[in-house]
Amino acid sequence: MQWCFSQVKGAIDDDVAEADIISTVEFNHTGELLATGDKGGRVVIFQQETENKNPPQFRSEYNVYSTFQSHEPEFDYLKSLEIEEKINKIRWLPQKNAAQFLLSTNDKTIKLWKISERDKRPEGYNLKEEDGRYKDPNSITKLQVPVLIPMDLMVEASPRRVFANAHTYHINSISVNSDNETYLSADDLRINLWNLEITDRSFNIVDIKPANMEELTEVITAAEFHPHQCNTFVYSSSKGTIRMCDMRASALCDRHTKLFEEPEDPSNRSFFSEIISSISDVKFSHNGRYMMTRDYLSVKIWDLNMESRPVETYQVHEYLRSKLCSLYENDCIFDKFECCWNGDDSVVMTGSYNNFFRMFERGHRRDVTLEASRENSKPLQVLKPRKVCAGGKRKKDEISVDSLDFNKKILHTAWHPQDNIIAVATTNNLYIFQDKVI
Amino acid sequence: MEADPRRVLAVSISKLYSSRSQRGGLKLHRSLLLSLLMRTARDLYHATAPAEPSTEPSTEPSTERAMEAMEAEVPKLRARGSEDKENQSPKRPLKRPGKAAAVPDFLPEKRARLERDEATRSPGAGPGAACRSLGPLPLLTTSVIPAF
Repeated sequence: MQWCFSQVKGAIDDDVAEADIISTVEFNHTGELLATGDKGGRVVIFQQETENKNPPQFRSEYNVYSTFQSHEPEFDYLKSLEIEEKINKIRWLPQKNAAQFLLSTNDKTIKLWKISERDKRPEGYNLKEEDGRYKDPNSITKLQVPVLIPMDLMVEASPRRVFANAHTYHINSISVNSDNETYLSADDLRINLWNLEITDRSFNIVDIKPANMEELTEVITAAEFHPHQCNTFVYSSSKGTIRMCDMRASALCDRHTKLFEEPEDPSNRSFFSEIISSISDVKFSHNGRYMMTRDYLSVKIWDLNMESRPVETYQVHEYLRSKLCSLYENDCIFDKFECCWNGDDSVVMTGSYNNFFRMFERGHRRDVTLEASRENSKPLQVLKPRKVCAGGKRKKDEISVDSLDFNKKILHTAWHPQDNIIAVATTNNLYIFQDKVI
Repeated sequence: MEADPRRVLAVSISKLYSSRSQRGGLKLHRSLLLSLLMRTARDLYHATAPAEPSTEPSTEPSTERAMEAMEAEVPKLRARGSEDKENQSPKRPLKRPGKAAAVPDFLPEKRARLERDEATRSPGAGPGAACRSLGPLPLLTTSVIPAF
């Protein structure tokens, strides 16, 4: 598979404003819409053009469809804490009618947004002029039926629900259930179950807070509902374990149904073992048979029927293992990389440093490293595979580990649900790549 | 384990304290990882320290005191992140008596204790109790004057 540059969104400026840093990327269920959230609390939605006027080798482009301010910074006076407006996650709801719905969350509050189109407006009111002023009743001599006339497309985003005050800790995940009625939100110690229609109540379904906080040994890092089984969800922990829970078993799912844990390789033990084993993302495969986890150095694929170890492990950037001390000092070791599946679960993708991102083809045991950069951004330019030289003699075109730019990190990536179109977020730019259609 | 435990400890301490002034409040996950790392570094330091009898008398005692002070601080930092004051363990002294003068200057001043006491007085959190959504506000620093 070869990948070509398609588009890049965002400022070219090297001086990045903090508010513009992209914090989440998500395609909707058809792939027609692509949403991004940023540190400034804004959501930008791109829409794929539907007209097929492009030549066959070039898929339709994504253009801005709607932009809105989802969350604002808030201040909690009781705790003397500022609540960041950064959008941590966006999740789309499956489309039920003409409007689109998505959930967006910051550290404390989840909001349901309705995005709807208006392309007609009424004209010919009996009592009002076109500018809205009321007519003199004596001047009305006939009755007319107002008609809807076309207007320029207007996309409106309105907050339909605000789910607040249910999380003491910082929300890290939201996940819509396959029942299309409920969703979960997870913070460091608790997971809550919500009904999409009800904002003043949520059920706590997981609580791992110890009675004495000094005995705390692990936190929840990510959670997701199973794509088909509405009773099943998983949550990952900072200790590198994943717990699967069945909501039919009991109201409070503190006791897991399955515990996925791989014994640690003693030869890899280091100071930083605990930090790098923390799972930063967990994603079910589309077919619901597997799940993928991302820790600092690797991606692991688990068969849901086997808890003892993953069925596949892919090293994302093993050359960093000897650099963990420096990565700890510059804080990079705390970076939370996400991962994603392609539409048919045959390929997985995740980000790395130096604006590199990695793809692993499961069946063929092939992997590739690609780079998102302005230098490779000519239309349809094929991306050249990159290689990092871990040590020893550096070949031509290879980049040495010490030359990697650790400020350029790709934490968020998304794959179109059906096609080979990917969205890759660098610090403040969104790159869209597509596979080369021969 | 190639990293020097003392250096790891020093870096961890500074990270812990700088995270207190981070926007968005103390991140529990990060604080936990830092404290686990510091415990590992401390254990390794204690394991290797007897092999170096008083080679550098001036630096070791201060690191010792730093670690003792940290041991008292770390659980408090984690507990502070919990917002649920009933579950805190009984108060521990911030510093061992008689050693205050030798504490390195990168440790916080008494101001930290004031912030903690002020936080202790706020009501316990539960859904709907503590967090209120307020409109946009001008950015305030985190060194807030206590309300009561």
